[in-house]
Amino acid sequence: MIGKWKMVVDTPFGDENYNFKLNAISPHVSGSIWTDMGSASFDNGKLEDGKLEIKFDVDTPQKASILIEGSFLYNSIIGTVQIDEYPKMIFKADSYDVNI
Amino acid sequence: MSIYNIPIRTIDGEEDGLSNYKGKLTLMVNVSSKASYEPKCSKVWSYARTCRQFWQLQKVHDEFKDRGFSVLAFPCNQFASTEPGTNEEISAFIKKYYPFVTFPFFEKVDVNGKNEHPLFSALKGNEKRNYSDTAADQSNAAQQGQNLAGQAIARIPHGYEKFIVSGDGVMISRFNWQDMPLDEIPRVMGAGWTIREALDEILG
Repeated sequence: MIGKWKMVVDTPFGDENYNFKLNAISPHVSGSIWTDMGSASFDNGKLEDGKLEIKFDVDTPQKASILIEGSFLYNSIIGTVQIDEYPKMIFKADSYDVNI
Repeated sequence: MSIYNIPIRTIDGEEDGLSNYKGKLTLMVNVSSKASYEPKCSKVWSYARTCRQFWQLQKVHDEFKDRGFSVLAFPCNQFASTEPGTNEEISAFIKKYYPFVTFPFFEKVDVNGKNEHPLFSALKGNEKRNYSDTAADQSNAAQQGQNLAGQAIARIPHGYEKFIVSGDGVMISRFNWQDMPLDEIPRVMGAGWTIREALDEILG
């Protein structure tokens, strides 16, 4: 599966939009996530039994670990984003260019 | 005068909330629960950075509370209007989005300017002030006063300024927002100690 999704993260400070690109040959997932403010790539994601898990580190002024967990619902993904140990934020991602 | 004698309500409206901390070492910090670092920083990242402050404050609170220590938080809306709510709204927001926080909160206050709370006047050492701290005052007298006074009585420039207050109510040490509670080396070389080192040494 190769595709792109528009992702909306429900943050405590309001919704925020991201673009999300996945290249999944189950269970291996690679891809990237980006906004106008920057991007990050990952190559060690997992997709098993419809469950998506992506971890990557970013090096902003402070280093941080990002964990994205989600489940597919048709071509959409619903899940959570977590930075370090902080509370998780819910996201929904709708596909706009998917080839399965 | 002991800082703990200054009247201030808790965020739940309890009068003279500070008097409960007489005899304890405290870390007083002006906070904003919606601290946004936009436009340079995304909402996700702004939340993470605010979490990082609260998370590390909670860690030192937990680490030292059994030795007679507490973090005390004072919401303030003076920095980019990042704490606009009422005390009730702030309290609800903290409980919902920072559920790991257990250290006490006090009522929302101004920390600079004509309406600044007497607590922050005392923390900044304003009784020693001999100049206006408004940025507009560039008079020779003000500048000379600022030079003489130095950091000890400077206005608070940002959220998360941290003040260590002794059990008898004297401000001992001051750290700015970039000094994180779990820093392992002083942010400014030669500053002497990190927040954890300071707490550990003072508590003995």
